[in-house]
Amino acid sequence: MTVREVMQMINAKTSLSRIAIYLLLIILSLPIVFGYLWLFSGSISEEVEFGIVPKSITLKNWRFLWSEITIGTKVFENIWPITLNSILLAGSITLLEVLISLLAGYALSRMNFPGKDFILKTTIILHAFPGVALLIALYYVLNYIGMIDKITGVVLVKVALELPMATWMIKGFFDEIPWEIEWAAYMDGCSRLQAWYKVILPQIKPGIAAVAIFAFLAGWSEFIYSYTFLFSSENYTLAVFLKNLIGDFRFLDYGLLAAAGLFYMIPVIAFFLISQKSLVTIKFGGIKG
Amino acid sequence: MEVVMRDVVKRFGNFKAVDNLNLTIKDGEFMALLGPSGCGKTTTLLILAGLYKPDSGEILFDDKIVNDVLPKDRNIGMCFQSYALYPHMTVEENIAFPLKLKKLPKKEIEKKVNEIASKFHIEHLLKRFPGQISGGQQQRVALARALVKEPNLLLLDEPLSNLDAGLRISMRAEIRRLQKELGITTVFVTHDQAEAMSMSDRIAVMNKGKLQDIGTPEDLYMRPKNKFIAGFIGNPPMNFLEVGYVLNGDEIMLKGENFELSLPREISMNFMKKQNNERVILGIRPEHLSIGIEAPNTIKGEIFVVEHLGRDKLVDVKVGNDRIKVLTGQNFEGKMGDIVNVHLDLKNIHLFDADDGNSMKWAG
Ligand SMILES: Nc1ncnc2c1ncn2[C@@H]1O[C@H](COP(=O)(O)OP(=O)(O)OP(=O)(O)O)[C@@H](O)[C@H]1O
Ligand SMILES: [Mg+2]
Repeated sequence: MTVREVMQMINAKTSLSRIAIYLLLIILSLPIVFGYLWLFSGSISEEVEFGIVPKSITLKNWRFLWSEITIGTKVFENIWPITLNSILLAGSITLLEVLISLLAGYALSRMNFPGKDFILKTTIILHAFPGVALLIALYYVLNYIGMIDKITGVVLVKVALELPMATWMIKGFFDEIPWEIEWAAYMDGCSRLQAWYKVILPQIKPGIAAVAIFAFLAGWSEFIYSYTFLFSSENYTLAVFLKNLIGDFRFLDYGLLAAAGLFYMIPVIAFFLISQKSLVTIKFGGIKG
Repeated sequence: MEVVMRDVVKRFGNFKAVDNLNLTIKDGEFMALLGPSGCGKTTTLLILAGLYKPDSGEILFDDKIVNDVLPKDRNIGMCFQSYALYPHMTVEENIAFPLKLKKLPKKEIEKKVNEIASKFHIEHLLKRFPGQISGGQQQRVALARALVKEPNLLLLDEPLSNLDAGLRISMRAEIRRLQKELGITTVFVTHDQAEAMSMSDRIAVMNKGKLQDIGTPEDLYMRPKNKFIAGFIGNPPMNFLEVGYVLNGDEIMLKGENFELSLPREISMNFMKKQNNERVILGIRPEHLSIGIEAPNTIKGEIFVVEHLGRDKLVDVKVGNDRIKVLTGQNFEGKMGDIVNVHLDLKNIHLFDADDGNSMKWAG
């Protein structure tokens, strides 16, 4: 055998094992792909064949976008105010979370104060705490301060629960910035606040983007608190709406559910398409290269 | 602006990074802070900048205590050891930043930035980001940023360490000229003694957080106060030989392992007296040694190696267990292994206490 032949054999071997790896990965991801395909096909057809092949294309399932829908005897709300509620909820959560975590993360990264270690440790525990366990207690609290059945109430709860993680993430980004750069800003005439937003924040833009995206998506997909704390239909969010569509499974319109589900996913997909480039450059707690 | 540091102490935990520092920098003076790595130079600079609070002691600017004045209000230009340029701003924006914070009109900012950029030969880099220029270029941008606002006090932390030899020499001159032109009081940190000697009005030598001495380059070179300064200033460094001290009337005898030197009265009276048979350290610079014929009051040794320095030769001579360096002319012909007689220019010898390293020369 010549060297060349050996090389070819090795190549063949590696490409063979590569094929095996790809096959395995494809098989593993099939259920997810299948699920999304079903969702898509189901949303644009009367009926689905073999699970994923659409038959007799129709836009009927998307009718919730332009008309009132009724299932059985139940009349559903117009989707648009509900979408607006969802945007409001996710948007407020994002704004608050980013703002607070930027300030708190800076303080935890840059300042020394008594109790700092304690705060750092407890925030992690807080994040590990299952939110559902707090449901009843939170209900009492919200009721007491008059925030029950208000989107603001859900925003506050969600922000409080997500904040520790966001703060930790942001703190990591701040930690990466050398002291000298901050000092240079002071020497150039910056106050602490000016140094924070003129010199430091621009350098952790990717971190801010990451926290914002995670906050928005968490807010957008928030279900359990909205479902528990919001009862007036004018306060419903998309997640609650979707749950109501399913109802008690008696009159289930699968096509409609698929379309509404897809509609609900649009911002998530859009976010990832837009931000995937900047997301891959982010390691947690830092900026790559 | 005159700067005074009075009994300044800075601790990190139990470690004293700056130990009871007393320093006066006169208005318009160019002061070098010289010392080996880790001796507290940067820490001292950061204390002056207001970025570190001293644990005790006072900082005075023009007779006003500024311990509690914020860094931004001190009008100090600072060039950090790591440059600390703002990575998200172009070179131009970096240099303009301190001026923008002072709310100067746009036109004026532009003019000043261009002026200083051309002085430091970085005009062609203005539109680039710090990540897109070399270390030496970054260093010059950092200098420009520190100087552009014409500060009352300029703090430079090894601003030339990353430049090549040619650029370094031209930047030395440029900084020096600009500093004199603007009359800015300057503290310049370096561990390169040649740089300190060539640029400064005075040099403060530090070691292990303590100020060793302060004086003009010539002072420190000619009359080092202790063995540390003697060894640190001057290149090639001073030779040290531990010898026995024997007092013989007015004459001093220095006894080495295999040599004896007797210092005549006019030399020995320059030094404080010691007890007989104490150990002292004899210091003499390579340029004050020569190689010649066998004679009394010389040191016999074997050539260990001969280094070519270009203009001169540096001859490494083995004397017992010690080695001494002798600066000779280019025409010196000795080879490795030759036995030679080293002559000392006795007028230029130094004696140091073997215990505390202090010079035994009478002050003044
Ligand atoms: N933030 C800090 N925490 C603890 N120790 C420190 C800190 N900063 C400096 N030190 C210590 O203080 C001493 C002096 O440090 P400094 O940075 O002033 O040295 P330097 O003279 O500037 O040295 P170099 O020439 O290497 O820059 C060093 O031993 C260093 O390890
Ligand atoms: Mg330093």
